[in-house]
Amino acid sequence: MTHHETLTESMFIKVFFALIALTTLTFLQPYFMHQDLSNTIAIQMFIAVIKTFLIGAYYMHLKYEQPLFRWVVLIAVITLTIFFVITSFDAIYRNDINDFFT
Amino acid sequence: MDHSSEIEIIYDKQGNPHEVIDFNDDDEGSKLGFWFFLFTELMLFGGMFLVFTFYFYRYTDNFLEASATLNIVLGGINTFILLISTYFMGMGLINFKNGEVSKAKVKIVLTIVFSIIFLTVKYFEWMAEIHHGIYPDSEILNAKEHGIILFFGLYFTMTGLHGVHIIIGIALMVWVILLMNRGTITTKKYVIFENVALYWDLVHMVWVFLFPLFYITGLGR
Repeated sequence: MTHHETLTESMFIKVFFALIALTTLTFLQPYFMHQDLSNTIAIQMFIAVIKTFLIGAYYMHLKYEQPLFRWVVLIAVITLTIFFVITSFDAIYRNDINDFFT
Repeated sequence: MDHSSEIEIIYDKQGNPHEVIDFNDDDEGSKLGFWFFLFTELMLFGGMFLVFTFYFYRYTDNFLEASATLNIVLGGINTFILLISTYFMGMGLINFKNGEVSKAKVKIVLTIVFSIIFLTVKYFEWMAEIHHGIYPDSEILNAKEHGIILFFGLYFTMTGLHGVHIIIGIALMVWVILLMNRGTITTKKYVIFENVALYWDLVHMVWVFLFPLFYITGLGR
């Protein structure tokens, strides 16, 4: 067996401060960098995705685990993405579907 | 077929052979199983976020109006409380792996304390809404526009389901401490603790998306 790299205490604390900083940014962004709705959502979701990445990689140890675990997560994300893409067509075109057929 | 005469051999990490009698120490398997459970959790919450996104798109103005009425200070405080609780949980696991059992137990207790604070804040937040007559199927809420009814329906359902996960998490942490005291979880065998920590990180991760979508979007008008 090869020796596995593991999460160190100092790395864990570094990630914690990164998460604190990102959470503060989530909280303050609308007050200090006021944007229109689509930009606000884009910025907020971007921060959330970075936070999720940090939590997954370090707090959930995916960076240090075997690749199979990362595949489980990747397949979950792909499955959800497919659901979101298909539903977005429904959301966007629902009112126009009758026009489409006539 | 009779397998009783066959001897099955399995090799440990050091390459030593062992006869399989009741093999119950597959930590990688336990973790993989738990990741599959987390997969289903992602589908559960993912489906709810999908519904939220769909109605947000169709009733954008209503959703923003409703979002602006939520208490962003309480929501924000809870975001930090949950983040700090995951810090203690993760640090407890690191301590435990290093053999610092009592330190780890203190960290788990702190995680439980922060979880209870989270639920208390949530209680006051919900109570404020309910005092304003805003709860599912209330007369005041039903008189409002369709999108606002949907927003609050999703708000109570999603934060409620998240709250149920917090309560289950607290129960699991108490269970972990009991198993440590009983000697089932040891510094050599701690996969249950690892899995509960994974669960707690997932609960945190869901909130990472819940908070901006429900509380912050209303400020983006």
